[in-house]
Amino acid sequence: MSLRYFTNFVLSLFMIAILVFLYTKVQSLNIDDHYEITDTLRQHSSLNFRWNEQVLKTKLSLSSNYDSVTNPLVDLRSLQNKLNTKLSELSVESSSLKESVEQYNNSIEEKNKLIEQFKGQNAIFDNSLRYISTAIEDLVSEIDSQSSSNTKPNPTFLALKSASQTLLRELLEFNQSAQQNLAEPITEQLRILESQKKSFPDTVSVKLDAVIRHALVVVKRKPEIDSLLAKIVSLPISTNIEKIENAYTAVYDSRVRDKDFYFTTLIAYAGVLLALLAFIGYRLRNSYRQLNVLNKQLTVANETLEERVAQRTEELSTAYNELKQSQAQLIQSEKMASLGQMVAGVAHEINTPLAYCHSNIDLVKEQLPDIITLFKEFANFPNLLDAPESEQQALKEGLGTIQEAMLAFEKEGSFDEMNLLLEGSLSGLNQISDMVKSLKDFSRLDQHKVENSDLNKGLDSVLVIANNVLKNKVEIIKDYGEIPKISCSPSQLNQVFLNLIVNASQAIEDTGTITLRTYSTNNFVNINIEDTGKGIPQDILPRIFDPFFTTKEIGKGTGLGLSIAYKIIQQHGGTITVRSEVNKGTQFTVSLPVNQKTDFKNFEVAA
Amino acid sequence: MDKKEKVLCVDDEINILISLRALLRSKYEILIATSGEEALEILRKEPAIRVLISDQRMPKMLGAELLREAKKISPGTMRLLLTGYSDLQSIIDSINEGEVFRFINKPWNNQEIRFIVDFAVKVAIETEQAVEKFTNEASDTDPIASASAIPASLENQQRKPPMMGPVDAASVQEETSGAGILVVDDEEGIAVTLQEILNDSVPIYNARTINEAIELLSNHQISVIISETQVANEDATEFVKILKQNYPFIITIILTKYHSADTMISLINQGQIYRYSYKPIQKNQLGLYTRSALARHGTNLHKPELLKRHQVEELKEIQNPSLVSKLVGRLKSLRLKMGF
Repeated sequence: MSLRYFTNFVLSLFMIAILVFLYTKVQSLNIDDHYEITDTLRQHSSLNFRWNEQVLKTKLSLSSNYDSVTNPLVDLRSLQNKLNTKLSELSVESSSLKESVEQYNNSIEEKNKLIEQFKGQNAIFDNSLRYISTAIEDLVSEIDSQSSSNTKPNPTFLALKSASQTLLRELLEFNQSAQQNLAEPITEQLRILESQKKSFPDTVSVKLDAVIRHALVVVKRKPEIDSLLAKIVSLPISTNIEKIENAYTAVYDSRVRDKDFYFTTLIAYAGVLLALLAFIGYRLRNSYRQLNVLNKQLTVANETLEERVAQRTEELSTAYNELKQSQAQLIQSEKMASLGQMVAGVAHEINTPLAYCHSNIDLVKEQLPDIITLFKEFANFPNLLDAPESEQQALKEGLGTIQEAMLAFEKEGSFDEMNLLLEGSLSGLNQISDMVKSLKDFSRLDQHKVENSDLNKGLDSVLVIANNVLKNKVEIIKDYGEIPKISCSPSQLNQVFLNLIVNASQAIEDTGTITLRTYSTNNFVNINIEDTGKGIPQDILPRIFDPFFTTKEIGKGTGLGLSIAYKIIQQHGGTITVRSEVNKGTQFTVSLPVNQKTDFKNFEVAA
Repeated sequence: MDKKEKVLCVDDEINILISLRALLRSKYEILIATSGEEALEILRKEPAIRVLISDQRMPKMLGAELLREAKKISPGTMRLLLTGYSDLQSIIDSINEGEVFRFINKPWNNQEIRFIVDFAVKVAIETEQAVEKFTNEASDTDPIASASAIPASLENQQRKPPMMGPVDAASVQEETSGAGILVVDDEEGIAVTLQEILNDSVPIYNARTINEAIELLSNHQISVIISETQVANEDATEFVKILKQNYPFIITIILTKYHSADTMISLINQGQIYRYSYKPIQKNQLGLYTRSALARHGTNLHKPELLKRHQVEELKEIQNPSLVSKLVGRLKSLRLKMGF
């Protein structure tokens, strides 16, 4: 299970990693950077143009100083740095891009160098060009002053004047034009002027010399500057920028392609993930549905479980009650069985004396009319004696009647017999009353718990009850010792003794003896019931006190007699023990404490 | 004064003997014994003891046992049994082995006991000659015993064939030929079992109700009836009693699953049943009883005087008068069939 979780976890991590990877790949192409780079490149080219413009302007002396020439360089430098940074940020291994950037940088450096050269050349040139007009003016004014002093106009002066003016004009023209051929005539003229110089006064020649020197500078420097400018302009900066742009575009395109690929992959992957998620979601939903169903079932089961538990509990308690009831019924039936045994025995015991008492009294009653007749005759006899002699006959008759009555009486019986019958009846009635007393002693229905109960007496009453079973087959040997009276429930103990004695007599198959022994030891009263019966086999001996254990046929015994006996003795705080030997006999010993504090309240359970 | 007839009373309770003697002394010579052994001794010594009255429960020898022995020693003596509380088996034994004439319930009614004793003595005197003649005729030493008291156990049967008696087997066959056995029981198995036992030597009719039984009785010759006490929720004991009262030749065996001491006692006193057996069927016993009953029927045809020894008490209360009239109505044809 944990392995599965681990695998799932790793798998999820892997999938997330792929997703992140793809995402970064897609995100790596920063469009802002791209715009910035292209913008920078554009700025480069525009700046380059501007720079060239400035250089040209400078050449045409349109700008007063060189700042305008150098300033673009500063801007260009920063742009260059920016571009370099950006491009290096791209971290793309593109040789063409690198090369073009290098070329570009080199060309910038070249241009810078050329511009520096130009600046230097141009300064001299410019200076000479500016000064030449001043120098020409000075020359012209010198000439003028020379002329004025000579009142007479000197023709050479005039020629010089015009030549210098022409020179100025030609120089300016030369300067404005890029035509090299214009330099030839100027140089020619300057050579002429040089040769003429000595012919002029010193003041003029100095002036003229200055003019010639400057003019020569202009003429000489002008092609150099022009070539520098041409070089500057011809520097392939734009081309290089274009190259960079192209290379960059190529790089960018490939990156865009990559990005597109990754994007597509990302989308596809996302699609797959989504599908997976949907699948998992579906699975989850199904699982949840199943869980829901299960949950519902569980809830229902829970509810029904409670119901069922309650039902089961009820069934169990019903079964328990039924069991208790049936146990109670069994105990009751055992009680009824011993009661029935007792009643049957007592009924027979009472029946015999009742039979002869009834018969005797009936007989006496039968004889009573004869006696009454006799009595009446005798009562009448004195009257007859007192009567006159004529009544002799009546006297004789009366005597005869008495004799007859006496004979009739004697025929049926005699006073001795009547006495015998009445005595028999009395003894029968005594027997019956003894029986009733024993019954009372036995059951002690009038009192449940008794303080001073004589167990010897109890045993005697049990013997009377059991007599019906014992008579004809069992000889009872009583060996009663002097035992203290104990507090107990006599009816229950009698039930135990009856049970033990009846069992003993049933163990005796033909005839035998039951010995009842009572004695006391150490605050205990012991009742020993020993028979000469068949004995109990050792294998079943430990089970005889178990409820429902019986060796009798089904329906003949409940198997509760001894278990109830055991319980009763236990509740009295006593013990019941058994010793037995097969074919020799069995001996039960009940030991009961003299002073026992058992609460008799619960006795109803066993009894 | 005429010589008094002898009556022997046996009980371990002396007061009972005193009472019985006082009760019967005026008419009879009362002999008393306090145990079975003593009683048998007297029976051996004293001739012509007409009636034996015994208590059932006595030490050592029970009443049923005494009756059985007495029957052998003095077959002419009528046997009465005093019962108070008795277990069923001792009553069954008294019927089957002791062939008791009457049960007397304790406590008894003096008039009733006198009446029974008078009746028993009269029967004993009347049948004395028949019994003697019977004894003389039979080669067997113990005529009534062998004829009537068929030992219940199988061992005894093997020792003493029940079919053999004062009337030999051939004559029994002759006498009973044609006469059948009527089984009155709603259980069919009984008749089948009986057929197996008797090897179809005797026709067997099966009645599931009392009405069917009456029908069969009027159409067939019946010598022995084997009846349940309850048939199709009807009490069959009254039928048995009325039949015996009106037709004493029929021998009745009760085969039942219902046990009641009172029923058994009344079946003896008013129905003079021959044997009492209980279900489930013990084949040997049933066979023995049936053959014995067939033999007894033959003997009775041979010596009709002996029937007096099985006279019944009048039914005091008839619970089903229509049954009586129905039975009596059929009686004439029945008698004709049986040769009366």
